[in-house]
Amino acid sequence: MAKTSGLAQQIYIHGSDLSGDVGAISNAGSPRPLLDVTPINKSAMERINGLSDGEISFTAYFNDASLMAHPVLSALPTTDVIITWLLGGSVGDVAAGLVAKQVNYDPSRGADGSLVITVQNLGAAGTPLEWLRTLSAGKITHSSASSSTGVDDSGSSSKGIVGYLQVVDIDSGTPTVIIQESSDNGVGDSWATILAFSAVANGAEPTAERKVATGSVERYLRITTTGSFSNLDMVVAYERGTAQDDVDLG
Amino acid sequence: MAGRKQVVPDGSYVVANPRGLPKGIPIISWQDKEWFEGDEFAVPSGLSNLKFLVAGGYISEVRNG
Repeated sequence: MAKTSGLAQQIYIHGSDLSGDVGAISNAGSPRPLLDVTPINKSAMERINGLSDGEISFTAYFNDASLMAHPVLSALPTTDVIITWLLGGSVGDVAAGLVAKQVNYDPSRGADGSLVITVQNLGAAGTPLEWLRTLSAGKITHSSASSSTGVDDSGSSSKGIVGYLQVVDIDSGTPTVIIQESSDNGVGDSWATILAFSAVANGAEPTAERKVATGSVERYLRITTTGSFSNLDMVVAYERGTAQDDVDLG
Repeated sequence: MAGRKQVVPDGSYVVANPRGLPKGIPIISWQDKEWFEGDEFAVPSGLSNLKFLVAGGYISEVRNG
């Protein structure tokens, strides 16, 4: 953990890997408006927090290939889209997650011949933008049911966990992705399943899901896949709940 | 192991599903073994977190009487 640049990042829009089409993240934020509650017996302002919000907005290049920027973004879905922006491609890197409504798809052609599209996504599910950690090393592939190496968070926690799953591609079958916990990386202590994403059948991807589990969370976490399938390409990110969360994960 | 009817003697453990996970999801994994909801949990040699599994509701002791 140190100062880093913004190089080699990735972004997934409801299962579509648009990392090669997005040129800039113009805003990723969770604004908090302040409400004025200053009474007449005070000589300075009093304010409290209002509703939290979330936004991930970016500029994309025009690409009309299958599953790339134009077909994915021009669809302007009325349903929620789940976005995961990875600031790196290693396990434990910072990521941002948001369940959003895509507001626009606005191409502009510059006098220099450029063709770029601005896209704004605003929080839509009662949760703000969430800062996460990657549990997968960017986009990973499980060729069949298996477990990834456990991640050490240096301690347990007690306020729940939120997980984001991006299912990019499946060659065949119906995998289910779960997150498991252990106090010692499965050496003497077993792994227990803390969170299960919905099973996704081949053909239903690209898709994505955000899931929450409440209660205590052990020190080590890992991704496990179950079911009969071949070659699941996915991204998993998570965050442990804290007492400071705008929305309590429990 | 999942879905199989079992006669579980008193004092042994059965796997529960404290987080309400869907059917077919392994509740507990250790080394190359997996246990599903309803399975008898014969405590494997070397396993050290039996108390955690009981306290977390992952397994419950069988009392038929």
